[in-house]
Amino acid sequence: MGKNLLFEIGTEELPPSCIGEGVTGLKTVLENKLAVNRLEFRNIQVFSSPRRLVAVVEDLSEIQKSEEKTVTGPPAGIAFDKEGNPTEAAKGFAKSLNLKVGDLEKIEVEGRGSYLGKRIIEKGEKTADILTNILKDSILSLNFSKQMTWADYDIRFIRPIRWILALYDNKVINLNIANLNSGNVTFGHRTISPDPIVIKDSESYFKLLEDKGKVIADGLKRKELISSQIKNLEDKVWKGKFKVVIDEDLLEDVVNLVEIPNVITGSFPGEFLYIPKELLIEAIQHHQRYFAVLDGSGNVSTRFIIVQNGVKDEGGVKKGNERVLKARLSDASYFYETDRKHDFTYWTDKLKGVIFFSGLGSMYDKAKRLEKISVHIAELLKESSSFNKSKDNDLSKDLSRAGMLCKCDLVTNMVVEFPTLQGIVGRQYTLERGEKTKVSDAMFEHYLPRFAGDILPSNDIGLILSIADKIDNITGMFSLGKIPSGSEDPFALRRKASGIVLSILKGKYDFNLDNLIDYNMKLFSGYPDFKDKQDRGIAGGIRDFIITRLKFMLEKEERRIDILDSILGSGCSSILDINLRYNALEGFIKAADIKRISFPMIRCKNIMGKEESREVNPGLLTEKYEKELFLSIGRKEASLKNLIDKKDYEPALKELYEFGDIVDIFFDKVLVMDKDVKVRSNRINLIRKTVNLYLMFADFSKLTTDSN
Amino acid sequence: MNFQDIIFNLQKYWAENNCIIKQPMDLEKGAGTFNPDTFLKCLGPEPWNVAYVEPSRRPTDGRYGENPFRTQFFYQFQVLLKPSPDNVIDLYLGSLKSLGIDLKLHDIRFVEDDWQSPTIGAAGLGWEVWADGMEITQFTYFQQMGGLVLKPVSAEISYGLERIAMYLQDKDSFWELNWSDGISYGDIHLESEKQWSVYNFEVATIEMLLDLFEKYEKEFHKVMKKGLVFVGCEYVLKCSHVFNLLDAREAISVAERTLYIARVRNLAKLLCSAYLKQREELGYPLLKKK
Repeated sequence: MGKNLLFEIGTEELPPSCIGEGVTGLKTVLENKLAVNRLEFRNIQVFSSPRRLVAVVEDLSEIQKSEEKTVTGPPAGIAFDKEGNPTEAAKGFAKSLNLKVGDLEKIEVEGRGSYLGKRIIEKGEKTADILTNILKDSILSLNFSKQMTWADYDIRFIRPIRWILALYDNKVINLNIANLNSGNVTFGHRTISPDPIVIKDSESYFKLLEDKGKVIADGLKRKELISSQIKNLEDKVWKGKFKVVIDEDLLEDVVNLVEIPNVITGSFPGEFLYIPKELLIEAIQHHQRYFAVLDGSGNVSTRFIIVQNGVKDEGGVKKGNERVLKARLSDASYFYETDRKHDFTYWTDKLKGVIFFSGLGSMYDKAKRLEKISVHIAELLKESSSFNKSKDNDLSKDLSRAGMLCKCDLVTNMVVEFPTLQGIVGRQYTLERGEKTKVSDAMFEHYLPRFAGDILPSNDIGLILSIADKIDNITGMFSLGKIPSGSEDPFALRRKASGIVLSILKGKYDFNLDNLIDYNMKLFSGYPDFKDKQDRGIAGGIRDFIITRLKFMLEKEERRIDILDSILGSGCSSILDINLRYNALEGFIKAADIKRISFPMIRCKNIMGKEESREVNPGLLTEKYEKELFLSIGRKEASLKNLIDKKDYEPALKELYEFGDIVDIFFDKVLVMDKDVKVRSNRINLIRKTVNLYLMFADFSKLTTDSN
Repeated sequence: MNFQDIIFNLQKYWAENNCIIKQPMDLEKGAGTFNPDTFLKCLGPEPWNVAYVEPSRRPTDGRYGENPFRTQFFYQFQVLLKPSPDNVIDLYLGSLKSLGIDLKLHDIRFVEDDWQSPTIGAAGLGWEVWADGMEITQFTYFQQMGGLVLKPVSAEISYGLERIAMYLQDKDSFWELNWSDGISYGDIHLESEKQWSVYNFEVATIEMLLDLFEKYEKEFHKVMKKGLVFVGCEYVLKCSHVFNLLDAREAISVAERTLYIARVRNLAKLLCSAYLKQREELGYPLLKKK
């Protein structure tokens, strides 16, 4: 049985955005350090509040595990002479260990034979003696995305460390960091309970901290408390007539801004209710971290929720917060009113002064490109068989409008003040100015999906504009050489590529991706930084980058990647079509023995070599089965083309399945390597033609087929 | 507590806590940080503890006197403590008590606000301090100034005097604040706030400002060649203020904006390096004072 370790790093107020990092960081660091030091424990839990990171290690062994080390010297053959007496080599080795040769033993080293050596057992030290260094190292090796220094100390941390509590088996572990000595003292709430609290028994830490210190060190507990206080308001006080808008990110933030939460209701003047709902909610939430409250009909009410860092509103907490919100809303209203005086011509013009990205022109240039790219996609779709042409006559017109307008809100006062409203303000302002609903929706929807698992655009305008926006980012960045590598993806291009794949699949858009990328690159061709970069390598790189996202999605669903690889072998460059073929082939494999397609193709590929394909000369075909194969290819080509054009993939695969017999019999009955060179190379050409027939659908030779 | 009494109290409190009490600088600037007592003195190893009132101007924040607490002109009370004392937050909370704020009755909150001023190449980590939701102070541990990494680190405490007064006097707007018995903040500042808003947004002559920027920048280089860093500092501030006015007039596109900021930052960098070098040559005189 071990003893418990309580380790608290007391700090100045930690930013909510870094607390998660601190908690996981401390846990990982401790786990590693304890393991490296051969200390066993039951588990480590890490808690946090704005002013502390707390680690509790349960059942930490009191002594290090001892370690057996083997030291080996010269091989046995060299260590002893013929008479079995130790040689100089053996004596020297023994001396280096401060031992006599007689103390040593023969040790078998696997695969290398017998050596002279010694098994040494290193005894473990007492945990209490080595914790000083372990804990100090743990603090020093914590890394944060944002860290700082203070005074003239050399240590870096999220915010200054002000105390350290370290108790093992209820005895203080002494360590010193940045002018601080560790002890058995913690601090409670900064203003309600400023005096030090002595912790004699680590078991009592959480209770004392809460009862005396007025601090709940467990974030989950604080979150539950906020939720239950809100629930109580909704059910008991408001009797279900009002509902609090819970934004999860905001709640998480608030949990980490208070050491003990107290929910208070305030109200603001009704004169601000004219501000559109989403804008108003953001104005309530954004700076002050209040929660908005909706009335029975779903409109914003004049009530709002404050989460106080304290136990009860004894002073002017409510009144003070009401005054602040009033001023915030009067600011929001000022921005909204100023925006009202403008129209989209004004904003479009203003976009000319906003850089999209250095080397990629202004936001105005970007909007112009979006207009063109989305219309181009629409035109590609109109050529494809699967797109319902009658669906929307104005598609191109609407896309062009939406493309031009969708970045305008970036220069509105409202978005400059509340950046998270990008897209939402655009939707609101286009609606107010009489644009079509579909066009308005695209102002917001073209940003979708914003994160993994997010919703997708709801209609063609949003979907196509979303694809255009994302491909333009990827093409632009790739052309500037800003290509994601490893964990580096500062422009979130992978997420954008995933978004493209998802939107294509949702819209069922069948178009050639290469065509789109080429078109996009041409739009950049006039840009100074692009002169030498128009090569196929970049375009191919972009295509592969996007297809890789499809691959990841399939992998995540634990589906077979060899199927995807074989389909890509056909050269198919439409994401939708790749996916359709994938599903068809995956289904086919489940029902039939795919080897009857893949093996004949592999046989062909093994023999055909790498020379260029030439036409088969029918006059040189002499044997029955090669003639049959030739004729059969002709027939199959026509019927396969017909089926593939219609994306009728199941019968297409059936055709190839039956075709296997013809190939097999050809190989069985016909000798390809004829003595006559002409006959031989004609047969190889026939085999190539066979392979090309398979390739109309996929390169089946890439399928992994297990032997059972 | 009247507005002027808040200033008296803070001056007394910080004087008792080892600060020199200085007077404002006679030049337009966006915040107390731009005053050389912070801007330059935070550089290098010499200790420096100072407090002063700083009248500050941010042309784009003007609201023609119609917003209860957003104005193009306001007062900061600035404290710079170098190196940052270990009990700096307690010291700060003590100053709030000296203003008569009962900390137990109010919600005092330190909310992350990492501060950056790209125009002077400055960056710091810290908080805005809320009192019942009202942002009353900006609290920053300076990490960089003029692009130089700082050691030791200073703590900068910038009080928003009007906001603290609103809070203490239970008023809903700057204009209603009592400056002294019988005279309000509005009596003193409302008319000028309206006029300056008109000027900043509508009247300021853009060509003149563009011209001034060029001239100030040139003058900066001239005086720096002579080693006149304190004069150079004022020309950086003048460039910065002219840029702010141009910004308010919407005279510069976002793209040009970045260029102007880079130009001012370049001056700030040259200035900070030159100042640091001079202090080194002088043998860091303040290190010897106790």
